[in-house]
Amino acid sequence: MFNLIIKRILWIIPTLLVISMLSFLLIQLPPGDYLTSYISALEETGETVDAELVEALRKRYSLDDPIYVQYWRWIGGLLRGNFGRSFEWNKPVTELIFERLFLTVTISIATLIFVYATAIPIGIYSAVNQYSWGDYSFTLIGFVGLAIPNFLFALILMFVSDAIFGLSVGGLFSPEYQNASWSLAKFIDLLNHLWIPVIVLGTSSTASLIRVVRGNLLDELRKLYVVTAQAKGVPKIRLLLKYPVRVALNPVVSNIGWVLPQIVSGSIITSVVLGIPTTGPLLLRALMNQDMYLAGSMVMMLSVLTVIGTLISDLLLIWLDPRIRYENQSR
Amino acid sequence: MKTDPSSITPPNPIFKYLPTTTSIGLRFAGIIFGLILLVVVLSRLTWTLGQWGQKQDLQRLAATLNTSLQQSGLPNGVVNSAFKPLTKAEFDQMEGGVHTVGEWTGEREFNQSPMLDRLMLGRQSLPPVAERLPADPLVIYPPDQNGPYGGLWQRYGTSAPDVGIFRARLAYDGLVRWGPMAQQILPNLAVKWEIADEGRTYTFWLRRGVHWSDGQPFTVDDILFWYNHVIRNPELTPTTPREYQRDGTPMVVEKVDDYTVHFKFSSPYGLFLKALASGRSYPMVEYPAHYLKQFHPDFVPVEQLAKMAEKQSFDFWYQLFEDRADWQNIDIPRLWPWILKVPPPAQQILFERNPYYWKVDEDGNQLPYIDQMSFQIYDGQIINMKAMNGEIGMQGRHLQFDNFPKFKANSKNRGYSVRLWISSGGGSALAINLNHKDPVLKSIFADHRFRKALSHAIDRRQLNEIAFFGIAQSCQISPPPISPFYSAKYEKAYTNFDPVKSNRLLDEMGLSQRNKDGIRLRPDGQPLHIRIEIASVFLSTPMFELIAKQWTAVGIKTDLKLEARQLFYTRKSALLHDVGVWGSADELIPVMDPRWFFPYSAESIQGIGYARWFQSNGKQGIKPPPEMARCMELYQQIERTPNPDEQVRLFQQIIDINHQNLWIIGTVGRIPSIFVVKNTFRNVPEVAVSGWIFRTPGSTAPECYAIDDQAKSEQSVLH
Repeated sequence: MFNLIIKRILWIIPTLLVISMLSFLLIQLPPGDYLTSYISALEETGETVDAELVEALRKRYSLDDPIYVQYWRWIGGLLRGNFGRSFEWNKPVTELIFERLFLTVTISIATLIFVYATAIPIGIYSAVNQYSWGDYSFTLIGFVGLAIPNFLFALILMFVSDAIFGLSVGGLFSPEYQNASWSLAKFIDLLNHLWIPVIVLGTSSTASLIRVVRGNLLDELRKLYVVTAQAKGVPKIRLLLKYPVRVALNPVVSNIGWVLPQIVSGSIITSVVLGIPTTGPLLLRALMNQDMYLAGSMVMMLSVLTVIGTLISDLLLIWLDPRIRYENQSR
Repeated sequence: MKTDPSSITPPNPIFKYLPTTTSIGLRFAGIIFGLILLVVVLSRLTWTLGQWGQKQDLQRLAATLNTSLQQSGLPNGVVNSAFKPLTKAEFDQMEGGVHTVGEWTGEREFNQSPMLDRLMLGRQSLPPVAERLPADPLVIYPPDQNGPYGGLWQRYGTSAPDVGIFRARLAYDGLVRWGPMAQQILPNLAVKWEIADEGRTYTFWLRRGVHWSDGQPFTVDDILFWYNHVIRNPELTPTTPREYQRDGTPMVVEKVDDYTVHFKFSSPYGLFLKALASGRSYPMVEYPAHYLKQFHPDFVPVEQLAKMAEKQSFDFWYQLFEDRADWQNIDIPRLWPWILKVPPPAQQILFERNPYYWKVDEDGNQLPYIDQMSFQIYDGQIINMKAMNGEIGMQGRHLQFDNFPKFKANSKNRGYSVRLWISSGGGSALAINLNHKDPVLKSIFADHRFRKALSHAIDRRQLNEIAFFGIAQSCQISPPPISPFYSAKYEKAYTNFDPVKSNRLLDEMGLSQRNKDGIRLRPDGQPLHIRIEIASVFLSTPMFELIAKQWTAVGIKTDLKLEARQLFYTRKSALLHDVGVWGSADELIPVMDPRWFFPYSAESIQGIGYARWFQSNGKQGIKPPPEMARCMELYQQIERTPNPDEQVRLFQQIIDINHQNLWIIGTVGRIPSIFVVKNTFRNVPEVAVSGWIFRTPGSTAPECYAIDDQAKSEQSVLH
């Protein structure tokens, strides 16, 4: 058991190294570099840029170094805890990310709670009352939720919130609370805006989670131990929650590995459409402008979180499911 | 160990999961049938709704366009002509509606914003307003009314660097400024100026006693610091901008006294004043010497600077210096009407009034009227929605012309108006790469008949209908009618749709052989195939799809490639494109940026190789053909001529050569620029001239804009 965990942790290092190389390479792969996007953005406004100036700037940002030198500089900084500076924002990368982290995590956790709180009970209900009217209607809603693209749903809800509730379009705060310090009024304002991203981000995962829970639970309910327990007269609810539901939640737990990076990355498209200052749009912009230190650091951070998340879900599974525990012990 | 679940009857059937086998099949069929029905109904519904919506859209579009055309109550029916470019005579007759400037002659009795009264009652100690203002403050006569003070101006940007246009387009405080109608250059930090020695010496007299926003005096020494220690420092400015040098010799900046400065050039320079009015004089007053000296190696030991830089995680001292001089620094003193209070990366970037601002209105009220300006960061689409929702104070940036009908439709309910300002440019340019790497294509492109044939092959009326609701004008890339450089002949040259003539020209060129698909064959027997490349910033791609079709119709197989602007940039720099598309460049004053009249800079994508030759005085690049070289010569002559009329005369010759050669193919243009203005805003002109070289809305003096909430309540009573 202990060995297994140690082995898992040690494997993280080479994994991350490969990821860092790949992500750096991918960011560098498109034609041009940060300067080309900087200059083309300037040209859009009508400014003219001197060819000599471009060369001088390229030297200054060390963009004319070979790629492995640039990689080495970046990864060396990372190991010393220096994430580098964003070209575009001219700010340290850490400052940019942490500025947006709070809101991102708030939205993601709110979404997660929403998803679990609706999907698990509905999934259980649907499984227990299979082919009932309730099951059918939840199935229908679930499929609709899966089918609607997030950005469209976001636009519709944005229209609704503006037309019916008169809230300002996009963002998480009304203009008057934007720079205000935290107060009850600001919190209520946040709640007023928060429901849209939570519902938009939540529906599709709720829908799929309902299906997963329902399917798994149905499998479990057909097993003989359930019948036996029933025959022995175990109360319905207690029987349901103690055995079949616990097993049925296995896939949910193994998904936690993917949930962790999602909490930090935010949903990019939805955030862009809704104008929410999470880390998602920041990453998108950094990638588009080849702001390589910012993009690279964010990709790295997401990878670390994925790896850690996978580890956590493994550990949770071991704790939750005796079968996995015993299998590993017997080896 | 398989058990048929249906064979076991639980003692107490609490779980209804055990359906009989027959009902499974039945229900399955039922579900499938239901789903099919749902799909059919939904698709039918969306189809009908879509049709209906389109019809509604078209009807609404027509209605809004009509009402906007019928609107009256404006001087000389300006809105009527906003879609039809004004002629020079009509334009000159327009009066009023924009601000004018003057000098303060009255007693030194001045008023300030109540916000500053409150601040001075509190902890902050400020000298009285009369002491903060210079001896000779600039007077701005607002177009509508004086004041009132106060309010927050809400604007939006797409990123923090995008908000940086504040310094150019909203502060725009250099020595001189362009006027709101772009016809004259107005005094600003300079009270007056003089051009001597046939344009070799420019003398500027500055306002006496202007203060930086921290109360320190602004003098010629600050300009000297900027020139000697920033522009002439090779690490801060690797190459001296073209406007500050003549034939490779940098200008000399001389201090006469604290408020008089000479700019001296080695040879006559006729465009310097215009360059200063556009973009070259506000950077020179953005470097307060008393603050920035502490970050400069000419004043502080380099080792000490290196340590300071390292502490802020910079590698070099100049990065620290640039960071301190950047607009995002809240500690640096400024001369702007509003100074930065809440810097990025905040979601809402806030500017607040500068208590030392050096302009007043005729009643002696210190400007600006508006206390605060805020920029929120959103995606461009959201900004357009914010505009439709009436959440914008006054803004034109990021608003898309395609949305004009929607802006118009919402304006009544949401309490704002849509202003159409005269644009200084003229639509998109199709630039054929004269420096193409393929020798066969290059020789075809070099033939003026080919370019004229392509121009005649375009049905501009159709483009206009598709992309601009039919309100644009067919034109080559040429100065608009209100420009002193206007040429009616060149504006409309080769713009009529004439496929017969187009085919004839191509046949005459020797491209008469065609393959079985009707595509003309090149001299080497290959089918003639060209590609239009567009950077994805351009939104009206349907227009270029049409052009590709129309060119294919005259036997030149054309396709369209949309690419990320970085890729576009890389490809054009490497001379890899066949035909590139880019917007016009303020042809109203074409001498400022003549990129479309001959290969002038790296943005002249018709001949970047020639442009390199021009920029390097023949040392690099490709030698241009004689007519093009003649244009370059004429332009250099203009650069040496301070007399504006002589500049116009010489530029007409450049236009004539363009008329013969047609190096650039124009499409449709003269589209007005859209601005959305809240009804509470005062002193925003109904019509002004808009363009990058005038830094609009900077040229309309945003410091005299005011927010009048009284007016709002009156209007809501009316509706």
